[in-house]
Amino acid sequence: MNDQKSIKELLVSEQFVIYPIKGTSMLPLLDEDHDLVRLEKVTGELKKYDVALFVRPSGALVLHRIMEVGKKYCVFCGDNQKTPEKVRRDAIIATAVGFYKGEKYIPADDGEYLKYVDDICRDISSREVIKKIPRAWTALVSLLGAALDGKTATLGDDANYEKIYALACRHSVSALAFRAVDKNECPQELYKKWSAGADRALEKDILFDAERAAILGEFDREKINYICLKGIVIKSLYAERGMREYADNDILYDASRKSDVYNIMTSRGYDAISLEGVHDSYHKAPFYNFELHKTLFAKNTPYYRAFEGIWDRAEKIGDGAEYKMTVADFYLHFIAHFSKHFSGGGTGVRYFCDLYLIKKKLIADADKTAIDASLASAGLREFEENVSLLAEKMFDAPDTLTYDDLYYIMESGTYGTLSNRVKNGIGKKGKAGYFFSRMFLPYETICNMYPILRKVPVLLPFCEVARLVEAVFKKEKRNRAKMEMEIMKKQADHE
Amino acid sequence: MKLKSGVIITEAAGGYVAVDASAAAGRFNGMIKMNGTAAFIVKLLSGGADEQTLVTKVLEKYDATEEAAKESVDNVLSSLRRAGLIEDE
Repeated sequence: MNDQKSIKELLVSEQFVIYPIKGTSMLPLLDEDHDLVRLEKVTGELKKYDVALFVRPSGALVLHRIMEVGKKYCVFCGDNQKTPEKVRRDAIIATAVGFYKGEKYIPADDGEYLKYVDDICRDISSREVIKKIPRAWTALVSLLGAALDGKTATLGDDANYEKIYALACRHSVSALAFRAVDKNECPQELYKKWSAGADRALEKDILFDAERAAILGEFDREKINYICLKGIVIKSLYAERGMREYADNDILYDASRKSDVYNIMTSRGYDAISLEGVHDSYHKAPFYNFELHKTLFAKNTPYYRAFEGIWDRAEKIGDGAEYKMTVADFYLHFIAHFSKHFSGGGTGVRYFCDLYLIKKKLIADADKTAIDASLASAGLREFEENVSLLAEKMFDAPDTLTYDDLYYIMESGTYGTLSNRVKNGIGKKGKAGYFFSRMFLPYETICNMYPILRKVPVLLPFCEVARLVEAVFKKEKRNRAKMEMEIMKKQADHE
Repeated sequence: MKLKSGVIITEAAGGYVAVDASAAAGRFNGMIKMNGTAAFIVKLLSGGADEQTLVTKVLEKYDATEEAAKESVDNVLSSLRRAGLIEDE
């Protein structure tokens, strides 16, 4: 009953439909954990302050209140929102005739309810928006905290495991969260699906390890110095194999050996996806991704200088060509990378799981003075303190978490969102600055897109034009540019 | 009868697992989770042991009757065959 078509179909044969509440936009009237709405097909005239169900162009169903009735459009706003939304009348599917607040039914013409409507609609701009933490967020944090601690978490009978599972997948922590799922509490079918997913994560991890060992064996034979980075190091801090999901194998190598690395990778059946920029990207079906870094950060970025001389500081491991970063460098790289994504598209909860374990297991006994000095010189001390505090709150004192603590993280997912990227970009550079920076990319970035520029720099204007042409004619780039413009416009409207 | 080349046997998930690396070029092949006895048998198999040798080695290592040892070996070989991890010559 939870899609547009089935509700429309149901309303053809049925007089009414009982619809569950999703989200927090209709608080304080309707709470997603307990309340339902009784919907009927739109037959008569729509009235100002009716609650109605409409469908957005994206296909999402939304239950909000009508603030204005027009001939072609109605203006909607949730009771817990301040920004109205214009909706075509033909997108309105049903109107609410009553609400189930737990056991109690409140008809839409109830006197007390109408008084509430008067109050809530008096001045939407001065509303205090209620920030209720969605249950799925706290439930996922509980599962992750328990899993990191090697325990099972009991979430209670009313836990919505489907939602929790979907959120865990979005943050690439479903294999970790599964370790804490109570088999007796989770619906059986979902448990099986979740378990199979965790098995796949383990299988992938084993296959990644074997493939990486084979590749690095060739690096050893060819004496190509390398340092393992990020997920492939961090995963060893987790209690069991397969707990830490990752999509790429990140390895820093001696950039002077680029062509030898290319030969090794292509002879193993890899396609070179990109050989420009900070890292070379190689892919082999079905899921083998290797990001082979020539440097840790690009020259035109703030953290580049912090990693100059990294090979001199690194420690040689064994008889092969492997090196290991100092703990201070490893931590600085983790935090710098964390910060880069956090202030870009946003970072999900997996970073906080990693940070929690790194602090507990890797740097607990390390030289704090060296770590503090490197963080301070890179300007990351404050960021590190803030995210460390939040990681501790999440997994040691989850009851103290607030909506604001979790909102940005939970909405970001594993790889962040375009919306965050645009908003953060505007926050840093202003609207005009952000627009300009997107229109005219740094020279180094354009060179990575059009490598011929390195040999023939005078082609720059042609490359700029080619980029704009691609943005118009390539579907993927056109859609991204369109979405970016829409987000910028919404951001401008919001302000 | 021999274990397919490219099968990885490793400790994981509180026991042992066998994963077919050679099949990964197209899809997830499904991993076999094993207890210690099964892993012992699979490791011997990967070293080239035949069925009779497997039973003998299980009897040497574990306090079991010949019937129980043979049943263990049969069960492990059946699981491996079902997962396509054995090549019959």
